[in-house]
Amino acid sequence: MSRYLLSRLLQALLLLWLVSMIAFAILHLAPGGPLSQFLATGTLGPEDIERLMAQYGLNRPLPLQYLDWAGNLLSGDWGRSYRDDLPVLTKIGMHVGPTLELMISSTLLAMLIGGMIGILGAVRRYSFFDHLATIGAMVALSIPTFWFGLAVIYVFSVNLGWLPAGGRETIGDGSVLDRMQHLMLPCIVLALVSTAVWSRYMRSSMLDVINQDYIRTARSKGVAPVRILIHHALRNALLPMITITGLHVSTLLSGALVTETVFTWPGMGRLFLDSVGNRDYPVVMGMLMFTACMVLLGSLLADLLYSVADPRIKVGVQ
Amino acid sequence: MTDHKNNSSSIGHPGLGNLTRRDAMFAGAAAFAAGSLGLAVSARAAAPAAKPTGQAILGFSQEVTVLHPLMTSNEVDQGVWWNLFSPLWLIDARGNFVPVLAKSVPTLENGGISADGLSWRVELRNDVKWHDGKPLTAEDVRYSIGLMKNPAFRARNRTAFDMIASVAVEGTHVITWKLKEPYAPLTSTLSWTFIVPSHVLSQDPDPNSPKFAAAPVGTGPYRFVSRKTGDYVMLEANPGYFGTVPVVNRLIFKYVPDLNAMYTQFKTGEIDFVGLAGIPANFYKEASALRGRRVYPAARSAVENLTLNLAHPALADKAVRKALNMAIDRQSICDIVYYGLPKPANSFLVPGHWAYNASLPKSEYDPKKAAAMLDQLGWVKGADGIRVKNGVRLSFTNSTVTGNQLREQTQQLIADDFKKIGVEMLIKNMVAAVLWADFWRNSEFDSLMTAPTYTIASDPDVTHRFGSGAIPKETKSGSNVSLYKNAGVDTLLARGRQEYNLAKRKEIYAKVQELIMDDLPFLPLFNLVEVEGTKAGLDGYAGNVNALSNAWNAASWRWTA
Repeated sequence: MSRYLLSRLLQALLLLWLVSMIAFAILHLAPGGPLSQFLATGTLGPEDIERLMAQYGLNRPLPLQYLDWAGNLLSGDWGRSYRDDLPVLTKIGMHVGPTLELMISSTLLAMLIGGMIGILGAVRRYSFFDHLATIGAMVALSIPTFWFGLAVIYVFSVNLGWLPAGGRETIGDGSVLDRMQHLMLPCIVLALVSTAVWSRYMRSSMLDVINQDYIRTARSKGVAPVRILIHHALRNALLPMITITGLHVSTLLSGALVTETVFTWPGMGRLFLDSVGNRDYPVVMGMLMFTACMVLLGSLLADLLYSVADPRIKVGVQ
Repeated sequence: MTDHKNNSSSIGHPGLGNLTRRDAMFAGAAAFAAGSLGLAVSARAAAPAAKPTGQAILGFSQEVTVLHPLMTSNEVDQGVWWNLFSPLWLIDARGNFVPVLAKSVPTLENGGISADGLSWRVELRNDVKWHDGKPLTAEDVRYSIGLMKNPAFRARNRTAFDMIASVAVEGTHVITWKLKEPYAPLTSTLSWTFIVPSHVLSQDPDPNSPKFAAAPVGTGPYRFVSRKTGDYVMLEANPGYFGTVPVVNRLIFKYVPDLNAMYTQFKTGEIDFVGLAGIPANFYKEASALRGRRVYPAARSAVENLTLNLAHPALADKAVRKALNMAIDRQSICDIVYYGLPKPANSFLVPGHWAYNASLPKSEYDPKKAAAMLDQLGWVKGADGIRVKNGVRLSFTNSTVTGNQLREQTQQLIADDFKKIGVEMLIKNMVAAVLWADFWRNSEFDSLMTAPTYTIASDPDVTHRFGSGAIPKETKSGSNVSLYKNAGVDTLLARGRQEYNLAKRKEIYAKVQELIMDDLPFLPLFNLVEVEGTKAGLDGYAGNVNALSNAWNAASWRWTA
């Protein structure tokens, strides 16, 4: 086990190094720079930009800039944002909380509803419910998040006035109830698409399992259908779902670009969008490394969970 | 507390020197501005103000970046700075200079500026305290000027400060400096230079002091409370403010990145003020009819225009540029695309600016005359309907930042206008980070559609935009990306920079406008207007084209309902 973990760790480090090199190169080779946006305001001239470039060290050769960045990262210094001079880790720390709040709640909601729809669809294959679920999933997947977000805001915030149109909290309130009210609409919008995805995964996974011999055997032995479903079918159907969940960890942390923008949610997605748009290199690199770490951690967790869910699988055994 | 009468006797600036001290309008304007900033008049004699209560949430589509007021910034940052910090003086909505930290604005007449225009003397108020309770002194001003000149400091723009040869503290509240040569725009520059605390910043070995930028200490009517990046910056009323303490206890600068979302939150009441970049023009009518809301078409100092590259073989010809200028139906653009909000422009200065030349001819729309002019110049229509002369097609590209739908519609209308006279304008848009890079700096474009503010801190000196020594492609400095050169304009601009008398400066810049608008290195479209709004119960909003953000006087806003 420990040898397995060590080998996975070495693989992860190699991957992170590759990711950092490629990302750094792409980011710096893209046209424009972190300071050019200030030219638009007219308060800075090109000579000021040149001076600031030198002060930030942006006019040095790219490999040198990379080595500096990587060296600082290894010593725990993730750099500072060119926009507001705040440490990158502080910025990520401030945005990851709201993102986790939104993504975990919407994913749990989607897994719960999608899982149930998927199981029912598989058990009652080709029934009216199954057809309805299939069509519903197609519709949910086809609705643009941006449009759906605006539509729910229009109905529930503007017309009915039941829920806030945006933000994570009422500034100055911030009670649990207030936070829940703010969470509701973006959570529903995000959960819509995820529910469709989870229901399809769950349905096909269940279909694979319920046609297996051991299920038929259990049925022929007279085991109660509910018991077969929960103890025999569901447990095995969940195995592929663990992989999907593991790979989903990074998505949970990288946020939802569109939903966070429509609902003014101060999460990772918006931070990434703003930082790329402003060419805020330290923040973009920090976020990419953070997300890459989470992808690797997620897939490792999924592998480890596999052995818990299915004792036949032994991690690290060839 | 400064008495209004004392203020009015000393107000004036190098360009405003010919106004009489008792000028009623001037005094009124000063009182308005002073009142707007909470520098009121007899606050000390008045009964103690009630404890500040409540809060106002100000929505902006740009996020606040740095809280250090001397660093690179965007417009929203300045809105925060006006409330956290104080400059020596400010420019009010009518273009008048009003003292803030200074007792008076130095002029030739009041002796603040020596007869040769080189020595300046500023006396500071002696009742100003920093948010940490320490008194403001001349050393703070000296430190702030020194910081702007410090090569290790990431200063925003040092042009005016490079003109300062030496600075001296002459007493606890008196500071003097000497210029290398007379430089009238310095008064304007200082109106946007917020003084920072020497006793805090000099303790930090790093002149950029991230610690200060994260938790700034100022002298303004509000003090810093907290910041949630990507979300908001919160300020609270400063009970020790030297002016009138704000009535609203907390100001929150909230970032709402999407304009539609911002407008929706204004409708639902989640934000109390819609600031930059305002309510989209297509919602103006609807917003005007909203119950419990007020909307304000806020004039900006920016001019929407087509910036031309004079190195382009067709655009190099002044007569072609005149024909193009005549072919644009500006009124239709204002009416159709911008819902009648803006007015067609005819200068790089906006009407209302003290140096605007009101006698400039209006931009004429006459496509037939434009076509005839091109015929006369020998531009003949080819088989594809596009004119050609000496093998040069009258075709060029136009670029703007992608995603601005209104600009993209304007481009279509103008391309259509040009097509009618046999000119091809191809649209080639790009993201901001690309457009505002080498493409702009090295004049790699044929034409651009942008809305620059040609002035810096509202001063009409536009050397950086139209001076022949300010072409970044040639000199790595300046913003004259049209590659415009006119010796007459250069001479006038040089004179204008050294002239401290308002009437004479006004004459100079009137002539500069005439020459430039005759040469047309850019084709003016319209004067930018943004629709801002407040809840009906929030009083005190006052648009000011001489500030980058209309939150400049938020300290005097109050809830009345």
